[in-house]
Amino acid sequence: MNLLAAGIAIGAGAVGPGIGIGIGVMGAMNAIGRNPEAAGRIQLIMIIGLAFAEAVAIYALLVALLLLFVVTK
Amino acid sequence: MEEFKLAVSLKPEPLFCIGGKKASIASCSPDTFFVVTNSTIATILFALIVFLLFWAGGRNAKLIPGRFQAFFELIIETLYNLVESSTSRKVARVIFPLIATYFIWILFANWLSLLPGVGSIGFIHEVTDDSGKKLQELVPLLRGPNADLNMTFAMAILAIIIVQVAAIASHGIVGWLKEFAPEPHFMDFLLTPLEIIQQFTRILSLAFRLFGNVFAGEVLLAVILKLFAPIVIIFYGLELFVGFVQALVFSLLVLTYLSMVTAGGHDEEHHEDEHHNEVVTSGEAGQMAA
Repeated sequence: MNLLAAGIAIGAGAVGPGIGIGIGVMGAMNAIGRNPEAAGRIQLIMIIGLAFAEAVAIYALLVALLLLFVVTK
Repeated sequence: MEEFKLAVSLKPEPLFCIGGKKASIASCSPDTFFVVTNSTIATILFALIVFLLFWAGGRNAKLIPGRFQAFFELIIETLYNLVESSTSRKVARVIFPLIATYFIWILFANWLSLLPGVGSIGFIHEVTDDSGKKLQELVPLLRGPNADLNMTFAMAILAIIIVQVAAIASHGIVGWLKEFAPEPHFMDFLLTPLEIIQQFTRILSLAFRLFGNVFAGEVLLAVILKLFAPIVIIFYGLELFVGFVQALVFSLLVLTYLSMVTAGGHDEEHHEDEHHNEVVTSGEAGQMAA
């Protein structure tokens, strides 16, 4: 049961950040396309933004790891 | 044929127990004073490598650098420009060593823990799984420092404490406390707890982001090796990239937190600096255009 719960936790938890990161990179690429000179600066801000989006996936991973290794039964 | 158990352990395994006895091959008795784990040894070893490398790079620094010195100057200069681009020059000079240390240490720790031998050389002992089958399990001699939650948590806690200290240093104690009571004051009964909790979630997300990525990477490589070994080279390249991005993300986030709390305090100087930077950059752009 714990295995199933851990699988669902990380599987479902990765959907949101996946969409979010996709939208974030899309926005950054549009911006770079419009203004290629600002590419460096945009990349930097994009990476910070992606880190925040990714944090949600990390929380899901944390829950999955807790279910696998810490919570018994 | 002897079967190996896929060694996935969340905790680092103790190798020596100072002031205590070993209970089994990978655990210490509860009265142990100090536990030396495989990640402790790896941390000391890697720190020594990074120190020696950069010490050799900065030794007999000359005004006209040779190839070896130029390589290190390139790293430091790129990092310094990064720090200065997101905060004022005065703040940048103070916080640059911290940001650079975080970046260089995390980068080297991630890359050195991908070396063959780290996590794959160690003691073998026998375990029985749930169905009573006997399996061989490996207790590695070295474990990547950032695949140990203690390491990443320590770095994250230190970073957030330094952010608080920087806030006090640039705004005073009263200014620091005011940060926790933001503008619409009638909402403060909700906002203040949120602001306080935010500091702790920052620690949590900094620590778990780095740990999660590095640990998941190691498990990924182990699983791929067991499934179909030749394609592991692709994932190895991916892990090199992830190691770099995570080092960048960690140091950039600390930089962002620091520049957020130090901004606004010395308004005039800040604007002056920004103006100066603008002039320089537009001058450079003009040169390039010409």
